[in-house]
Amino acid sequence: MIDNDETLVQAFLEEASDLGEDLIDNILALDSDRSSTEALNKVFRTAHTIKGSSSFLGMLPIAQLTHCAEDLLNKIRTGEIPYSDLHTDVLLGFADELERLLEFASRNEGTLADKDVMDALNNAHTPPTPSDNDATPDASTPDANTPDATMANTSTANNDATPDATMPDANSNPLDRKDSVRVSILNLEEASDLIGELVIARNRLNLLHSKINEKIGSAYLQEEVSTVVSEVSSLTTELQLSTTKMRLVPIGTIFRRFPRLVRDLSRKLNKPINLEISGETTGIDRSIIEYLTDPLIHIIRNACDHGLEHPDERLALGKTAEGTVTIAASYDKVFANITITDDGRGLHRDTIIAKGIANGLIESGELMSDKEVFNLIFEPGFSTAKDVTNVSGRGVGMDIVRSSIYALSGSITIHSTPNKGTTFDIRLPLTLAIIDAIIVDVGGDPFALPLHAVTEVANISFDEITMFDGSCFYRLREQTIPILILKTLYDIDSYQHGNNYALIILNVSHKSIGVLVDKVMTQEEIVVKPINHYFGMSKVTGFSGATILGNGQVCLIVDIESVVLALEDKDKRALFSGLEDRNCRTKDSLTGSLQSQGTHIAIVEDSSSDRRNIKSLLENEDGLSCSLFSDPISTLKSPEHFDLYVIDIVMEHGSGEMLALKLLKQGNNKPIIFISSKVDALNTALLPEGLKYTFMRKPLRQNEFIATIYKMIEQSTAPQQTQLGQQQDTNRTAGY
Amino acid sequence: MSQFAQKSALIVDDSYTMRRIIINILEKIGMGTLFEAGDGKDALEILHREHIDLIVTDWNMPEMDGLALVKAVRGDEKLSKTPILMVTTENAKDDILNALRSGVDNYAVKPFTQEVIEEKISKLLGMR
Repeated sequence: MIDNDETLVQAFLEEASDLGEDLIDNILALDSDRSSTEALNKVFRTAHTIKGSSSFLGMLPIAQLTHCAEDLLNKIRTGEIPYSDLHTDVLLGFADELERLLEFASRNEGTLADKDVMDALNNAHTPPTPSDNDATPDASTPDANTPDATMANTSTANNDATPDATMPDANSNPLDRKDSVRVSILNLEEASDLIGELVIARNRLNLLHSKINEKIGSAYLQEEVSTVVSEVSSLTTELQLSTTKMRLVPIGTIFRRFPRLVRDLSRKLNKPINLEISGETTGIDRSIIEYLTDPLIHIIRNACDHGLEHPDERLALGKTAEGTVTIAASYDKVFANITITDDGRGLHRDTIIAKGIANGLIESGELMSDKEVFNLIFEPGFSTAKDVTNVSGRGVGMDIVRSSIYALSGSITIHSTPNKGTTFDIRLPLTLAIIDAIIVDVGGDPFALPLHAVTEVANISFDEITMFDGSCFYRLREQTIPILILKTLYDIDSYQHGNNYALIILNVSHKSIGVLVDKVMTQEEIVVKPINHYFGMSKVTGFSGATILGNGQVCLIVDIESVVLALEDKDKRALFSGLEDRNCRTKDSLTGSLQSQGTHIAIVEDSSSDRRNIKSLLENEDGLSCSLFSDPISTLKSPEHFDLYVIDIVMEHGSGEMLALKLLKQGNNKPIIFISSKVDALNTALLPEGLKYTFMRKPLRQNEFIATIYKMIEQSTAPQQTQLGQQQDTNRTAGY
Repeated sequence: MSQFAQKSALIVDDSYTMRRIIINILEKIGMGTLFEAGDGKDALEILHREHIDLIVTDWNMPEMDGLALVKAVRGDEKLSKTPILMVTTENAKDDILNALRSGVDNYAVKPFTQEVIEEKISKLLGMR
């Protein structure tokens, strides 16, 4: 005998489980098209191949089981036995048993092949009597291999009544794994982790870059460093994108279980059900896909059990006797959408309201929109024991479905029309490893909010927050939205009173909610690190993870689901004590007027990274806009009108002082902020008299910089501005 | 030195595991050069490119199966004399019959031992 070496066993187990995955698909394909020689051959080949290899490796139970199956299939192949319904059941039983045996083998545990399954395979050699087979008369189920062509046609005609869109064409199966190699999950995770670290290092490098450039005397070297930094930066992004792609698994790997599931449900519930699946190739991160199976199964079970009516009921409504459940997956930019639709009875508003009242979830449904009513089914405690059938009742309610989807940073919504059916829309990020986030400041500490949930950012003051019944609300255009004050949720004591805040508007399940923070710091690509294991066994709530920012600071990632829960739960809606403190309304009015007018700033800076940094300091400031220039000449040539100039003093193509002189010569007397990393860089002797200017040292700090901008503009336009300023108090909301 | 050291063999099987098993055996009996293919098509490509002294093939394969491969080999002037050993399972008795009729020189039933293979190959290569 040959050696049973480990790698060979490993190779066998991998190959066998691949074959096993296709097995059920092929059995179902055979079941729906009994003339399909191809499906039959595939099923046969699977048994044949696994039997061949397992017999060499001494895996006797697997060899015995596959031997029985091969024997039966061979007789079906030669036409000795006509294929019947019974065979589908027996073969599915075989597929399940094979999966079980392979699982045991992969754990290196011994077990015997189930005797009942083997007996069923052996007994299926006897052709079934007509009474065994109530659904299809024998004449319409000829064997695939019978030479009689007319008989095969009958079978196709019989199948025409129920066109089968379920089975992907065997030849063009998108999940075929040609041109691919297997990579162990461990290696993949390691690569992902390393790229995560690389992204963090890249962010740090970008931040350091401007500082490094200050220290480099040579313009040539500065340029070189800039080039390398930007190259490293873009390569990191590309590398990260391609690892993200590597982690994507076609969602078909979980969809493939559904034909079997629906077939079993159809039998158990005694309802004919047609299942349509599309978009199997849609890729989703493997860490997400794992957690997606159970919620999807639950929704499908519900659709078949509660959604679809019984055939007689459907016929009475003028529908086809056969109900249809559709599962579709597709991409939408960086999201994957999965929809599960049934053409059943739909959700009934009144029934849900009645149940909601009975279960104490609501007091009355009068003022509720349909959407709000439908969302009640996601509430914990909505499902009661009474509804538990042996199909749907598995102790998981729709509340678990929703929280599983939320945990994956996704969203789920319901659409339903009475007697037309119900659709569940699930939206998921393609990956959870690296996300775009906005970094906010709360009491001096940074927090990250996943950008996918953020719709806009508004700068608001205390006055604009309304308190009602212990909750805070904000009027955003036509809508009143509940807001959560992050400080109170996380109980950060170092919070300082002030009067201007950033309100982050989030969209969760088509609902807008607001999160109040001190200010928005930046937007960054962050690498999500799990935090639970840093805190021992206790589960950390409120945060979905942590990350390391470009400046090296550790930053917690706010869990959006917790925010939603906190808003729903009155106890957690802490009072905002500062709300009564209205004395803080200070000179906000003046800056408000300037912002609403729009202040246009020219930034003249030869270092590209510095330009970007300065721009980013201004980006989140409403009413400020800027144009970037890399040298004095282009600045002078620009036809734009500027309210203020920010000018680097030491530039490759001319000094800042010279530019100031030339501007003045053009009759341009706008205020100037000179910037440099050297304190004594500015040669005031060169500057013309009457020039409005100030000096700031790099690196610029956002608060100081913005304050200086306003101060300079205020000084230069003071006489006209005071009056306007008093009228200003409207909200200033900017699309993010 | 093995009697097969100067010889080359092509293993055709759609199962990766099965190819490894056969290759292991052929390596042990000292076969000089080994090629492998996952189906009949790939096999023909190799046969046209390389010098192959012996073909060991499975019968049931997707794309181009054993029967089609044997027909193609026997119908090709240059390749027609290449000995073919078929590996199969005992259930496929009809296959064995078909295979022998269409030009397979010998067959081995899985699971076979190294000795069986060695003996059959020796005969096919005219060494015993």
